[in-house]
Amino acid sequence: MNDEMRLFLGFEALAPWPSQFPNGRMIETKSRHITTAFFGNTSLFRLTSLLDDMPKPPWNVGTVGIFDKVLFLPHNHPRVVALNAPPLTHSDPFFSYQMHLTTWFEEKNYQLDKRDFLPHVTLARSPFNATEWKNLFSPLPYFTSSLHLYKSLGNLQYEIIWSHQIKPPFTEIEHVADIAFQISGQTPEEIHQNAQIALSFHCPEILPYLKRENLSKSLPQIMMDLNDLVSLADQEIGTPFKAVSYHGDLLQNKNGTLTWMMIIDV
Amino acid sequence: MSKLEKIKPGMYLIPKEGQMKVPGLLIANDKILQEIDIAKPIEQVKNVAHLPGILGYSIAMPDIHWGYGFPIGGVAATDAVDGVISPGGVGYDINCGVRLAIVPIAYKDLSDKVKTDLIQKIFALVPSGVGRGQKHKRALSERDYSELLHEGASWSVRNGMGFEEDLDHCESLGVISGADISVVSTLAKDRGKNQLGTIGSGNHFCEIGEVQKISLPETANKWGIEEGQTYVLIHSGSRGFGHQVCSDTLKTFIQKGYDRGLPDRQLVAAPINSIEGKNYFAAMAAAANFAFNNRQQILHEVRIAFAEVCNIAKEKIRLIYDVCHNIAKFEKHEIDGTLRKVCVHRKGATRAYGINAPELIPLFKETGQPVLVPGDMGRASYLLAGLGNTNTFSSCCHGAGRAKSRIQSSKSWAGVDLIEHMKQQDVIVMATSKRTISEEMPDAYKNVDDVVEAVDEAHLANIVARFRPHLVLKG
Repeated sequence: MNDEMRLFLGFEALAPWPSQFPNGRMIETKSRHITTAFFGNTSLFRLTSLLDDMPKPPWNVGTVGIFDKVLFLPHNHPRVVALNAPPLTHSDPFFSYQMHLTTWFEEKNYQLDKRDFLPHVTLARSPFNATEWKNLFSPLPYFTSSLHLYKSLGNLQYEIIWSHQIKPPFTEIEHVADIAFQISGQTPEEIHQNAQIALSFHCPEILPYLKRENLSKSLPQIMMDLNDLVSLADQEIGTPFKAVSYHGDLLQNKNGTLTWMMIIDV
Repeated sequence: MSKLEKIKPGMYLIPKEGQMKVPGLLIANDKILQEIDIAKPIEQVKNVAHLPGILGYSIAMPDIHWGYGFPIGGVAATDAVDGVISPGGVGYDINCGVRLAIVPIAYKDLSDKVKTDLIQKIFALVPSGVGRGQKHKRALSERDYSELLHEGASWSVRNGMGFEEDLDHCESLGVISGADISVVSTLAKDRGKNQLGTIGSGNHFCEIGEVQKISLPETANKWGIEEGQTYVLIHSGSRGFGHQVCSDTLKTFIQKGYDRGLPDRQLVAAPINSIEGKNYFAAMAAAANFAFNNRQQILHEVRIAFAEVCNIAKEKIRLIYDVCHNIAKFEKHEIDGTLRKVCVHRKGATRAYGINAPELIPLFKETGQPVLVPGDMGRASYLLAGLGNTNTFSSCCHGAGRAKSRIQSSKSWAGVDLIEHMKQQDVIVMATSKRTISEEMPDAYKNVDDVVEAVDEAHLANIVARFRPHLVLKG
């Protein structure tokens, strides 16, 4: 029986997507991803039999990053519009993991793409107006969570047929009066970074104000830095936030992941 | 959760436990207790009871909900000498408050066109929404700041935005003394420099409607309020200026370690007579005076709108009262039979002085002070008269209190034309953000009727009048 199908591994990518994009054949929001290994047409049975042994990402909280430019791929004869997706957290492990995965599958006689890894999220396929896309682009925050094995169904449709669950770096939670997020990370610095990205999901305009270096190592300092970010951005551009509360503590679960409930006064 | 002991009509005691220095006191009736999820805010009431120098009770009003350290709807009085002052007991939006004015025209006499023109005119004159500041006014200079932060609302009056009589109708005559501009950061001044006379976002608003029902005719008559009259209710605070004062202070207090020994970092509090405590009070007073000016200038623009659209002279629109509901103030209260000077923190609570309170002007000495309780943009708001209840340090509720989170409210109204829906309820809403409308729909709030019933039952204030909103401007 021929069980060949078009398969690839990719990280689910989430962002505060604008409600409207320029023209193009759009990929559905729920199917947007960062491809890490593209197998082309291959046997589903053979590939899935390897997944348990396949190396898994060395992080248990998803990555965050900023889409910083629009790409038209491949460069010579563009057929897709994509957003460049350099990770801000786990940057080195992200690249090393992709390389490790490629090597591992090559050892299993898979022929994978040899080009340098370019993390990106494809948004649309041709026909599209590149100038319009370029003109309307503005940076957006994103995060990745679980790693999925996708099956391409054609016509821009994808089906998830296997998943390795990874905790999202933040989730918005109910708060009676204000906005609240459950922030997760493996270190206090990651908590700081992920909290900044969570804020930018509500207001992408604050991205230029994010602290990129010397992230804080203690929760009180993280709270102070986030308040400095909110104050400056609110003074210069206006934001929906007024302040980040000094609520709560960093909690550590049994696998070492840190969490903090961030509450924002609006 | 702690067992509540009913001690008087509308009052429940939360017994002392652990390191609590005083018991808690919850103002509520059976209806309120059935409706609200009380566990988390009650924990906060108990946490507040740990503050050094707290006196009497750690108090929660019937509009209580979960806040930052203090519950929203919380009151705590600390000793003015040995106690502490806590920015969490005031809140980020220092002197967030409400002012009520009465327009000498029956609401039913306003035509549909006049109503539409009026709300549009106010929307044009009073900036609202995220980050929106004044574009047609010059930014506040250092000199402006140094004057207005000391003078309070009289600065706006002196600059042609209001009338001398307005000041008599403001809590503390529209000024908190003790402000010091030198302790306010440049960033706070930058955040506020274009924001005087602006509503802001979130739950702030300007609403116009009709006096629907008078419950206490004698008091209403003394205040010049009649059924059917048009009213204006303005809810705003100290905008980015006050938020920055609070943020700056929290940072300093935490860096100084003033959160040690407290059950919640957000209760961080400095001794009132420490340098940090005094500096906070001076900066808070400055922010409070900023807020008095903000509401004064919003009312000024509303008066202009009525003058232009309805040909009603500005001076005919009478300010009934302006109250603070996020503030710390030095007041004298009787505790265990002794008159003591205390610092009363009201976080989402309103002062409710009764008859003959020394600070009140003669009119309100006769009646008790007006207490303003906005509800939601569909059902009602209330005007009450304070009774000076000694159990609550003469404090009362400040609103309806949220029943649903912002996300829940937005989700439940997804796909509905909210402007049209509200129009069907005879309410015209204008806002810069549709999201704000969905977050602020009437069912996102508890029924204010139940809240005021509880404070009436507990003898904190008497209901004077119920108002029905019709024209609402949101952020």
